[in-house]
Amino acid sequence: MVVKDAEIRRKIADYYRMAPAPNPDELPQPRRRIYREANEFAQRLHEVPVFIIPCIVHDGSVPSNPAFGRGSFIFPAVQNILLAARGLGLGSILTGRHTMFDKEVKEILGIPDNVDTAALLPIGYVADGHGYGPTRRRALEEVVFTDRWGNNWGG
Amino acid sequence: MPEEIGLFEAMYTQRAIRYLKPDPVPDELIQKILDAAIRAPSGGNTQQWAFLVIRDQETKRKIAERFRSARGTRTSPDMSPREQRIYRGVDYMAQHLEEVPVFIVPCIRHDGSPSTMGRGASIYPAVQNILLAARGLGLGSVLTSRHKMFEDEFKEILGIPQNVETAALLPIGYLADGVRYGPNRRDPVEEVTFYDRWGNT
Repeated sequence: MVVKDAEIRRKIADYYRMAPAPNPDELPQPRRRIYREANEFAQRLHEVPVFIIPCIVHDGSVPSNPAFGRGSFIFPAVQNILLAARGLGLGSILTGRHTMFDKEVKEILGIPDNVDTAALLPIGYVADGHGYGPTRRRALEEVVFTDRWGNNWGG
Repeated sequence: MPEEIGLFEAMYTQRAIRYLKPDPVPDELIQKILDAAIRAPSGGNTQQWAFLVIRDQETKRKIAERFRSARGTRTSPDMSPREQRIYRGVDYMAQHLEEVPVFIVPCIRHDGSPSTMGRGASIYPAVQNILLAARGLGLGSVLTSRHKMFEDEFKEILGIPQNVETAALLPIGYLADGVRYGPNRRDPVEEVTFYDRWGNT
């Protein structure tokens, strides 16, 4: 779903803001900074010009692990959206707080029962002073195993 | 090393490759693929992922045997030509799985709470980066999940602990002769995009 209507965006953002979120002050860095930013963003969500809400229709062809496995049907597409936005000089972020009020948000958008929303992706131009850049990530050696869990990969 | 391709070209031509050569894939390329995987987003950037890289032949053989015995979809005359082609590929992959030089098994650590689709948000973007990176390096892969039908055994073979969920089994290899990447066939975007309300095209 592509949501541009200002009133609809505001209604959805109101629900988004109602979702419980961790208290940044109770978190260690770097999570504290991340959640502080996320909470500030939530306050301004309705100002973002477009939301893309990727949905997955389930019609009975359900994978053997319905909940988690259904993610494999839609999150690759979500990643393509994030990458494409990057490539076009647009900003986005993979959010999911609206799912706490999934029923209400689906009603606002007229989304049927056999459809799940997977994420809410706000799309807009990147604010002044902000930009894309190298990402900070744990080293590969910390997260890769060879042949068996626990066999650390040498790199 | 194949010439670099653009982001959009990669996304438009990356597709499931089920016919792979048994030729070994250098560590350097696996490293590049995994380095791309970890650039993906995860909830709160917590990066609770882990990636198993499986080359050991005995391990691959055990997994492949169990994979074959798991009930999978078979081709049938009722299927459309496109579906038949896909499931012929699925059968082929199952029959030759242990010949694939490398499997990557992306996993997500969790807190023991029941599995949800939201948990997938913290690992499937990384899976997509793996598929795109493989594409960019001229390697083939496909997102398979049949191992989920025997996940307990699968985890035991690999020593995967309790609070870890596996997201996929990604065979990685060079494309078989005569197989190539190309424009992927998809239903038109207009058919699946609605504006402001479900049904508004």
